[in-house]
Amino acid sequence: MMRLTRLMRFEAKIVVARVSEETRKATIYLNPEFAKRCGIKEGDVVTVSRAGRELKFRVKLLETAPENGGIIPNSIFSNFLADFDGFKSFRADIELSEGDESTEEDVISIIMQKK
Amino acid sequence: MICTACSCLCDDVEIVDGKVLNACERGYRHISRYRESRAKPMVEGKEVDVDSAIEAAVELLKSAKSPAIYGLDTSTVEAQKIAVEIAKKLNCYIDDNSSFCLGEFVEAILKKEIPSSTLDDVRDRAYVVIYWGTNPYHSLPRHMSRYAYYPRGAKRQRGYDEDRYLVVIDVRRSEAAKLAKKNAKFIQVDSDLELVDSFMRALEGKAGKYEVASILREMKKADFNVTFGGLGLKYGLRGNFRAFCELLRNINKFAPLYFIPSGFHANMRGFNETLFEAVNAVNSYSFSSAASSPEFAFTELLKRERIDTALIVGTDPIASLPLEASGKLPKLKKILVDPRNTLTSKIAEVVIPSAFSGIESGGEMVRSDGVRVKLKPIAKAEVDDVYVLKRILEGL
Amino acid sequence: MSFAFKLINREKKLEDCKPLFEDKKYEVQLKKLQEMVKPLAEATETGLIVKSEKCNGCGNCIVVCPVHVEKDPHGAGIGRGPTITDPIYRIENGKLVILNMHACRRYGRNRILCVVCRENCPTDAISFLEG
Repeated sequence: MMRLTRLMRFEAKIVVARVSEETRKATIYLNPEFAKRCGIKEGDVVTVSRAGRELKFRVKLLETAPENGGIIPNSIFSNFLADFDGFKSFRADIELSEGDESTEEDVISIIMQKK
Repeated sequence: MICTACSCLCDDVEIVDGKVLNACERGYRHISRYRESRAKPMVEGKEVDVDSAIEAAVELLKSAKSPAIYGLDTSTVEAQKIAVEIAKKLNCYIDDNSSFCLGEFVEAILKKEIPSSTLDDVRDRAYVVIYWGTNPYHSLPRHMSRYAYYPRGAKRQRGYDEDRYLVVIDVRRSEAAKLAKKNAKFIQVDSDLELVDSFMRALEGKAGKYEVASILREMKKADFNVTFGGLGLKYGLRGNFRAFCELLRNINKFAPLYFIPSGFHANMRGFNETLFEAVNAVNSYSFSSAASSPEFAFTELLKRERIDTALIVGTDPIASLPLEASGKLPKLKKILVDPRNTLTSKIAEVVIPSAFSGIESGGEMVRSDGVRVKLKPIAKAEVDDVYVLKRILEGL
Repeated sequence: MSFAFKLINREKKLEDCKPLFEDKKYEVQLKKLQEMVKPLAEATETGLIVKSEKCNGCGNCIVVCPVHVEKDPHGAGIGRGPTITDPIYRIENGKLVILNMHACRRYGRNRILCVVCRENCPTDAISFLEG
């Protein structure tokens, strides 16, 4: 099982940008071709991890997303994963996941625990 | 009215029969929802009256060893001036979002290190219009239709497909890139510094990684060309802002090329110009050191744990700052002045409700190109940024 | 074939073909045809369809429209809100709303197949029936 999981992890180019949809939920907009190659469908939940941090996002497909990756809207979610060095664009690992997407409260709890 | 959703500050917005006319979706959302989810005055999580919240804020600031004032990009120039007075009185730090947005570009313009102009001049005269590292479709929806590309201008009577040359530079084929069809060029860039280098080489007749000689040839045809730069450009330069300034200088020896920051919060440039008038710096300023420095940016002060109290006005740092900065927010006492319940209001020690500039509160704002506008609010709130900041200043 | 063309041009309606409705043996075809002509009802008389969910009120379509440039050169024709009382369309509540389609060049017997609005919509929110 471990080996299978590692096979299903993909490196993605993430661009942090605005999208027209308004949502307070953790959403990632994947390039449709990229999603297809990874076997990820709209509506799936994926774990996006970078620099030892991870969050779960609901997948939507968007044509204007970068090839080989996706867009995460400017939000508490994108900022949890990003740092100033890669503020607008970074590489992250994506894998299919279970359960629901992370919430704003989830992230705030993690931040508040850093006292 | 004048829409204050972004730095375009569109002045042709009307409200007729309950419908918002002419504003884009971003503006519509901003204008139609101002009564929703309003902040309430709070101290340590308990609701109080506005006066008590303001008193609590004054106490926190008086007893602070190292306070900072942060935000202010959606406040009017009048409110920003009072905030500068407070920072002076407290001898502390003051900064806005431009320190991680386009502050250095505005500073270079104010110091006349790079040539700039107005959106009206762009409409009337610009031939080559470059959008570098910005997708105006989402961030500034009416930028192209209201100002920069589509409208016919005094010297651009034949319209966009004959009298303009559009260049869109981005890491992906964005919505704006899709519009680069006839008499246009889309450059999919993976290294902005290499693109800067390609331009420099092309000026010397040499080939580079990206084909840009054709763009320079087009620029030469006209006496007015413009580049709108956004966050993609800023972060793509990886800190090497000087390389971009040098490029602009060199291109201008060849053909006229002006620079205007593409856009940001409604009154970010207002903050930059207000602070610049006071202390010759656009952001990241320390009154006790009487200097501006990257280490005095709010995000740096947070990362290095150099402050114990923050007066946060009209911004939501727990949501808008990367973890390396937002993670330090629990360590300080926070006073939040905001019209709406935000994520930061959940963790602030003091919350003071304010009003939406341009909708319920008037004053002056500065458009992305430096043109000043006098807001035309449609309602009147007594407790706005000016009211709150004045009371805080008086209490100190 | 000519009936089919007249159907698409809205010069004739399905109801004009009486046997289609009166004869039971055409029931399946009738249902199929009714499905196929459904989009016609949604399109305006110039065949213009706006997918509202894709529109964000950027206003490109309003300023590129040649009719607006001619009739409202200081308003819609220059990217500002319309100053005339009868623009073809305008942005209301952040979305494109059609007001006077008959002023469009695609309308009527001497129609021109103008496509400027569709060509400058960054999200393909505007489409025409002819495809």
